[in-house]
Amino acid sequence: MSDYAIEAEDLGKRFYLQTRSSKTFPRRVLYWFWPRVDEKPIWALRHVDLAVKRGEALGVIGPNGAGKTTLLQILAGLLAPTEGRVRVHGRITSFMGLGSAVYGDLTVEDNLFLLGTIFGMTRAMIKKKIGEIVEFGDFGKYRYAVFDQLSAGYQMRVIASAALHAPIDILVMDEMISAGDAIISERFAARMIELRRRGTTIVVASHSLNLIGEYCSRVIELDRGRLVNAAKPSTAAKAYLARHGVE
Amino acid sequence: MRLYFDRLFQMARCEWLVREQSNLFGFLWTMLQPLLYFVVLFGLFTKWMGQKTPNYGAFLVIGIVHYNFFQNTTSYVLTTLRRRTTLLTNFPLPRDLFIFSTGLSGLVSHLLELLVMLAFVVFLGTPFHATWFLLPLIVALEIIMVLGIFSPMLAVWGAKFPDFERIWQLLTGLGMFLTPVFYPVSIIAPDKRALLRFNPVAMIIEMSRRILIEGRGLGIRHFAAVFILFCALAAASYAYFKKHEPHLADYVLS
Repeated sequence: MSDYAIEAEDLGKRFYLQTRSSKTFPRRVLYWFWPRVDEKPIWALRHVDLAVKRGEALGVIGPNGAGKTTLLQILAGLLAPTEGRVRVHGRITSFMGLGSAVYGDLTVEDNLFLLGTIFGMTRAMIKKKIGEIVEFGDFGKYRYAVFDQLSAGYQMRVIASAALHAPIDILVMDEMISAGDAIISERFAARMIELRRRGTTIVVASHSLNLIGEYCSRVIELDRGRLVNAAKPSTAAKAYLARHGVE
Repeated sequence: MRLYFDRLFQMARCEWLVREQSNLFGFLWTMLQPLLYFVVLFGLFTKWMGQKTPNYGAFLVIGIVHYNFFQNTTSYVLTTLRRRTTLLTNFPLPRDLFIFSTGLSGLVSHLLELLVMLAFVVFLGTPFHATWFLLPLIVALEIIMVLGIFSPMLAVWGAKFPDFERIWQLLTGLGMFLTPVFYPVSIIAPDKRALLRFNPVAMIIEMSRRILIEGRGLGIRHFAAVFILFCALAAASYAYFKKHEPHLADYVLS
């Protein structure tokens, strides 16, 4: 078994900035003969090499548009790289865009079952844990309510509670779960510490240098799609701030 | 494998509940479309077709229900990846889950519609035949056709070409006239009838009428040949989908 949970070599990802008309069927047919005539290529990532050891917690920092989310999406197998390759040794769980998995018209319980299976739990596991999940998020009184009727805070409690009970080998996370609620934030922090103690591999992108410093053993910095620095959290944070003119 | 089927069940269940608005009345609204088609087509054509086709009412409702399943489910599957772009780009789920869960939710509605169709057929005076028990075999062929042959390809094209939805609407609209939904094959000129042999929906509809109205069995050799052909086409369609699978997120984002 490899010592590394994730290995990425010479990763590159190209997108095309488009006009609205680029999306039409006739325009796409035109591209077969005259490739991408009116679309500007943009490299979101270029020549990125990365190796994440099993049990390591890697932080990814960088300004907006640096390529953090693109990198995480490629590592999670959500996007195919334009160049290079990725090898993942283990099951990846993604905590990105958590709110996108729910159906607002259905009940909290319906969504818990859906979220649970998406996060990697079987129905039998969810049935066994559902009481625990509901108690963890303290939303028992809303269990059979329509999801959209809950406040934003309670919606995040439901999602975060389901996510934090999932079995996780390798976790890829874009921004820490922001519950806007001190109780869930504290429980989330405790769960993250537990995951680290169990040797779960974590890759997290965040704008919060404090949180990155708290949870991560190593940090990489991206800037305009390139890997510009890899260091311990405190060193990486200082270099990042200095690079962007912040004291 | 267990997790895959649990995910399939949950996603299909949620899609169905949202489509049918989580209650029986939602499903009744769904039945309204084939019912209105029946009323209009029966009213327009019964005097002419009724002479050529005994029990035209049962004949018509069978055609409408089967074509409705094909048209609605393929149209829904075609847009599934774009409708769930954020789920597709944020969660590492097997991509075929999206198409099969959508197809499955359409199938559940279709099975309920088939029950209503059978009740209607009986109400219109069609006698019960032992061949009715062959209906599950035809439904199995239908599932292979819609979920196996058409859905994987349409999901890829729907992801690649956002306006393909309109093209498919046009094709299925025209397809209704190129399929013996409301007319018997016998009124088509003999030299043009051969074209209908290549229409898989026409095959399903004709087989269904054969067992439900005429009380005739399915020729074993003919059924086996169609079954093998459908399975081969479904395998090819799925292979096409798997080839494009790594790029589906790029298609919907671009």
